[in-house]
Amino acid sequence: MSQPRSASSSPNGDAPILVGADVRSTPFQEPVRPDELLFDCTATALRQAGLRKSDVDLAIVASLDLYDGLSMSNVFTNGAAAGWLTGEYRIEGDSAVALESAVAALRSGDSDVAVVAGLHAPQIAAAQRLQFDQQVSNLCFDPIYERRLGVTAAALYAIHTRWSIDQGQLSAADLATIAAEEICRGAENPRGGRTKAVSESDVAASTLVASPLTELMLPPTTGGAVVLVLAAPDRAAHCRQRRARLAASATVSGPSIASQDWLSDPAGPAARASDKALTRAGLTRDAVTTIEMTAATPALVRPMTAALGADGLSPADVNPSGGARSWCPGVANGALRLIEAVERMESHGQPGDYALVHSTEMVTGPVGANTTVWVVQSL
Amino acid sequence: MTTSTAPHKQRSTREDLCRTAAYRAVMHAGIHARDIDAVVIGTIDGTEPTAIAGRSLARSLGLRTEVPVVVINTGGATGASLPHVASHLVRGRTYRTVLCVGPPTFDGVVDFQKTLNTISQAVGSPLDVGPVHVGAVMAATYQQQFDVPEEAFAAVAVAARANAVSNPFAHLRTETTTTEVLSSPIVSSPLRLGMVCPISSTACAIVVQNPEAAAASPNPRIAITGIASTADTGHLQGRANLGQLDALAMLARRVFRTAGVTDPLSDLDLAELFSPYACFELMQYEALGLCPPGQGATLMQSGATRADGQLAVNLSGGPLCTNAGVASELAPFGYVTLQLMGQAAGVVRPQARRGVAHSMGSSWFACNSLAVLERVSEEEP
Repeated sequence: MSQPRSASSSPNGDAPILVGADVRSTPFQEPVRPDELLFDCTATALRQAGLRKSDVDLAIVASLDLYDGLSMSNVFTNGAAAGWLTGEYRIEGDSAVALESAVAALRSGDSDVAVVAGLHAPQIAAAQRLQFDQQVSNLCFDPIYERRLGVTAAALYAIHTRWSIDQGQLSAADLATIAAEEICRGAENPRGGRTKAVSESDVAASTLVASPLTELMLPPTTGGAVVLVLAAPDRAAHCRQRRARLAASATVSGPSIASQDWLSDPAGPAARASDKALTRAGLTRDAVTTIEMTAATPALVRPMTAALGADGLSPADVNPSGGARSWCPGVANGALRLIEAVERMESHGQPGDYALVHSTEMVTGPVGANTTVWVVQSL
Repeated sequence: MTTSTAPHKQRSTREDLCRTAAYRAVMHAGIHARDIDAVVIGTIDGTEPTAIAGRSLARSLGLRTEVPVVVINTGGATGASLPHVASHLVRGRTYRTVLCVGPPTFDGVVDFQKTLNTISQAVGSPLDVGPVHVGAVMAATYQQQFDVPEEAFAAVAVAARANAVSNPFAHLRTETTTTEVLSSPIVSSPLRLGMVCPISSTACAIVVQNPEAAAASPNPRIAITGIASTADTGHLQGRANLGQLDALAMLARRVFRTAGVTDPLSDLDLAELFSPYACFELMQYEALGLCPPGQGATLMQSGATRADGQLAVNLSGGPLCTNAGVASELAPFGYVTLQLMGQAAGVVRPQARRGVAHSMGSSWFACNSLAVLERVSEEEP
């Protein structure tokens, strides 16, 4: 490691500290009440931090109302996430973007303690989930030029996957191999959405979603809530625990469907976001010991790995959780990936280690989404 | 801002309106579109017949392709949340220059009033009530608690309409009289048609920069010296008193403390308040500490809230004259800024140096945002 490891040497000495977190998965057998899920999750995360609701200055909820089958959900979710009668707002996007906003609020001095809650709690029965998600995804595309063609996130992922195979970047068999490896790795993770190991043949034989992608090649249709409690450095010193330092981040918006960059360079936004985030943290890639990334399809794993500079890392240090193929609770994914990275550093690393955490919104597949990369330091 | 009209008369698309507002704001700030580091945009997906509309609207602005887009949805308070988020992102050194875009909310292909009338069913108890019914319950409670005559509500509407006449961005730009307001049909008792907002179509955009970037601005610099949002419960049974805006009162104390405002009536020159129903404006006076509870009408009658009064209120005409949803929730921040810059298009508050911008909304008007804006350029306005 050529990079300095002390927080004080960072150009971001006021970087907020992660002082509490909780993660809940929802199996979708029965829709859960979003406010009850968030309240429970937030209360646990605050308890871990040794904080109370009255300590919270700002609560930001990240959720997508249409995917949850809701409207104006802030009236009950924000209060449940400790936002009642204090600073609050709701972002329709990935929780990694909400995290960026919370960190900015803490760095600005407006807040000492902030809660970031990622939520995906569809009020839709499990049997109708896949169809519902596809229908909502289709509504996200241009009504004149794209929607009527039946474009969905899965359709675009499938087009990219087929293109990658045609370009010789990987074979159809590789798809099942990569997916099976990730799912098996994640099956050891007690909180994973897919808790059973699968074989390559299981993956290949699972329900076809959009050729050549089968159900097990895509993130599972699971939901959940992830709550992070952040504190300014001096406030964090008085908390029950200090788990990680949020050193720097960057968000880059993805290409439009017309540009075709999503086909030829789908990991471009990840590369540019990670470059920016590392620069802001005053680090280079060789300082990174762990990577949690979001590759929605097996065909995206290698491009994302290269874009994030993970080629030099041991495979065990890249998506040790199994990644999004193991569990991806909608827009709570960004916060989940961050927690997975922190826990990996806590269990296998040493204080001062750095992780790179990559997440992207997937409602429109590889086009148009925000891609966020966080640099996180273990404490 | 763009000029306003009724949604069914609007000849421009939502994309056109947002693009026009965004480029006017960019040009007014003396910057180029390439200087925009991030877009904070608000839409109310689920209530509007759209899906991640903020993302597609932001893309239609024609900015750099990789500019991050932060989509905010806090229901009826969405527009007010935009400058709050932008302020965090700029003051936290995440971005230098952030563009806030408030699109029109009611420009869908369906009659939005029908959606509004049933929205509470989607988000709360199936009481079969819409926002205007909620406003009416609050108005009736306020009337009952403080013995407020309906003439007081009418006076608010008359003042707002008079102010809007010279505002080129307002929707209703004709004067009205107390007699006209009080003879207009009841919408939901005690609110009459003349006391409730129109459904409008317009877009609004503002630019928020850090001090270094703003130093090159051709305009007087306006600082956000205090800004915050708050949410009370959206459930009726959780509200302590529907005749008072308690959550706004708590928010105001917090924001005023940060901004160094100790006596708002004396320390502030103007206010743009989001009061889509006439009763709200009087209740907001009280929540902001401009007068004691129940004394809002008396304060207004004293002339204190006129353009030449102690604290001029809603010189733009406010939402009683223009309510395009998200755009109009953002508009108070734009109107106060223009007044402080000495560039107000309509009624002018002379020598204005400090103002307050407010917006509220969401289920049972649970959410409020408030900002104190202050002219920091040395020269006299």
